[in-house]
Amino acid sequence: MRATRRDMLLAMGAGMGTLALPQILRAQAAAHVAVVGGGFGGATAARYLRRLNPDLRITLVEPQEQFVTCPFSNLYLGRLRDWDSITHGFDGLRAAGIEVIHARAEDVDGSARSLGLSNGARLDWDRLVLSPGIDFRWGDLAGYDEAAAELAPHAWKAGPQTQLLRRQLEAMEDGGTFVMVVPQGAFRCPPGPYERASMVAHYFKTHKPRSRVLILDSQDRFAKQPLFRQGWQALYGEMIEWVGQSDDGLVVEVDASTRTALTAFGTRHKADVLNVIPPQKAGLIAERAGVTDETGWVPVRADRFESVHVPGVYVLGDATIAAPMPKSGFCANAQAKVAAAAITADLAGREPPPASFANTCYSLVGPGWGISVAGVYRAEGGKVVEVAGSGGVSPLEAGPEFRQAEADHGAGWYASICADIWGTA
Amino acid sequence: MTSFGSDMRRRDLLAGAAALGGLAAAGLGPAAAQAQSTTAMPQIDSAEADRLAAEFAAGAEVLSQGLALDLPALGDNPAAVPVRVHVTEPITDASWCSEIIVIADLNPGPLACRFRFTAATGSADVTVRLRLIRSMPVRAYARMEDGRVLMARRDITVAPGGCGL
Amino acid sequence: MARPPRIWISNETPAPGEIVRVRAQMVHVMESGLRLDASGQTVPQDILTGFTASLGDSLLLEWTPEMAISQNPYIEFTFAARHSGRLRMVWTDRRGVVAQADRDVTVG
Repeated sequence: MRATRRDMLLAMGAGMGTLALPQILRAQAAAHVAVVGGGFGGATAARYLRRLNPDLRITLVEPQEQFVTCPFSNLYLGRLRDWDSITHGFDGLRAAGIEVIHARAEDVDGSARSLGLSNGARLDWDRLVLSPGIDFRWGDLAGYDEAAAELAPHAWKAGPQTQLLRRQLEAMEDGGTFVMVVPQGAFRCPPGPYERASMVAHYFKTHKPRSRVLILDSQDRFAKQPLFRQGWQALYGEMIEWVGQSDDGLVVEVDASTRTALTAFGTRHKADVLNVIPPQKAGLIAERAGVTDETGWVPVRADRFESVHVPGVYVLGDATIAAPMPKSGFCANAQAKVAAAAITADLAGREPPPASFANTCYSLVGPGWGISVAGVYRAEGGKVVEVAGSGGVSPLEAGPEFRQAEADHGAGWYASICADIWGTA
Repeated sequence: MTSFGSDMRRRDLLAGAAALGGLAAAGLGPAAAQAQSTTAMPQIDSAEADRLAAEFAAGAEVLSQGLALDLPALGDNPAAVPVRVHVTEPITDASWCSEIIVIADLNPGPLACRFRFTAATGSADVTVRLRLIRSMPVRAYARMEDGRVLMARRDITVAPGGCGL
Repeated sequence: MARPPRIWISNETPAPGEIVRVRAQMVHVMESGLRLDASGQTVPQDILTGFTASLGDSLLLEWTPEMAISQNPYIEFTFAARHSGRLRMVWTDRRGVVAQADRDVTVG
């Protein structure tokens, strides 16, 4: 529901004299917020800034003309979703009066408050939102550079890489092995690799039943592990093998041309389809904007998701250090709403409202078999903290109806959030 | 916000993992993040770490060179943080490293481990994996045969990945 | 122990003086002694207390882990290959020797 100007001003504090009103309105009509990134963080920020500020000038910069979501892209690999269903255009945002520019953000000048684009244009902004996702630390994993990704796809940014991986899986002979390498260091979507393994196993079970899935992991445990293991056993038997770090799962080198992964203890795994999830860092524009720290990620003030280093720049989603919030689309969306409210308040010279975040990570283990983990968070002392006793994870003892309900909840979440953000179903 | 079933409740993930043959973390993890109880508490400051360092140096001047300490700036998996310590100056029969200690300043027991080398080793390059209770400085000290004590220090931000871990 | 330690060695036939890299990992619960069980009792400490690596009669490395070392302790170290011999690695905890692994190193 579109907030009226009056509602918004009332919400921002009683006691605001009528004499102040015209000045506030003028300031907001003149202000410009630029948003970099048209995904779960950026598009939500643009959407909610518009909802809170009918007269604010908002520009969204996104290189892709259509956004393909990482969430549910694994279901496309498993052939449970088609490409169109995970692709979203920007006309819905345009209809809300947001200018959408399909170009790449190239540089940020924090003191001059300007943004340079790949098409040569410069945008002056009053506030800047960066939601650039992740970029890869090419070469950190020996043998895995940008060229290698064309042979052994990562498909960790949804788009052509996802389609490439699916084509490779479809071309694979029955009896082949799909090998997935899970990196050291923080990466987007902690349960993502294990949902992908599940979806590939589903495709194999139904089309290439002699095939196998091998996960080579850099850690000894993973998100929702007991739930995934239980589902894998029930649905796929012994088809999925997971090798943790202590069992020689850590990969130190890959050869994309031979689709070989080499572990720390010298074991060579030859794959028929090799999926390497490389080490990651914040999207490149974040470093150029001066908002990253020595970790390669972006520290932010948790009560408003404003950069710790560059005032006036707000950073959302996977690029940020927001633990214990995971790197997820759901979190980026929640953070964007908080940032939009904070920017709105800031433009009116007010402190931001209290920040509250929720996240639910849905994973599909198989058709009709969904699992999830949820958390509620708030800001305390500049950091994100989990609200004690909040959230939960799907119970291990649950019948098929419960798993089906969770699968339905996940699909429902996806449909409603995409409609809310991009205005498409 | 999406609603979810009323059967949702926080699970003892580790009990579940054990039942499925998974790993039981005998952890030093931050209490809030674990499904189990622990008496592990971080040090309130670096006093104990400083004491260990002073004991190692035994009055020798501590030089901030010649020793490299490699560890990730962000510890997304605090249960196993890879840490490499190596002496960067040449190891020779005349100049070799006899001992290295690694200190995790704010861990319940800050002394993480000790290494002793001999004249036969011919190098001083070791890597281990540490479990860290929170963000903290990590340091290493090396004693050379000529009595010099070398040190290196890095800060690590501990930020567990989240999402049902 | 349940499984023999996992060993990797960069080169079992190094040139004289070549730096050889070794990785070794064993299964060990590394119970910190700070954990409480379901009834609120402290689970007693049970950690690896020592690791040695020797080439023939020459001691190369002594490692003394404390409770900060992760479960399933991993160690990576190097040495200069000065003579041929058996690289012997020994792990001990409060029970005594709990694991041992050997590799033959032949210096060319």
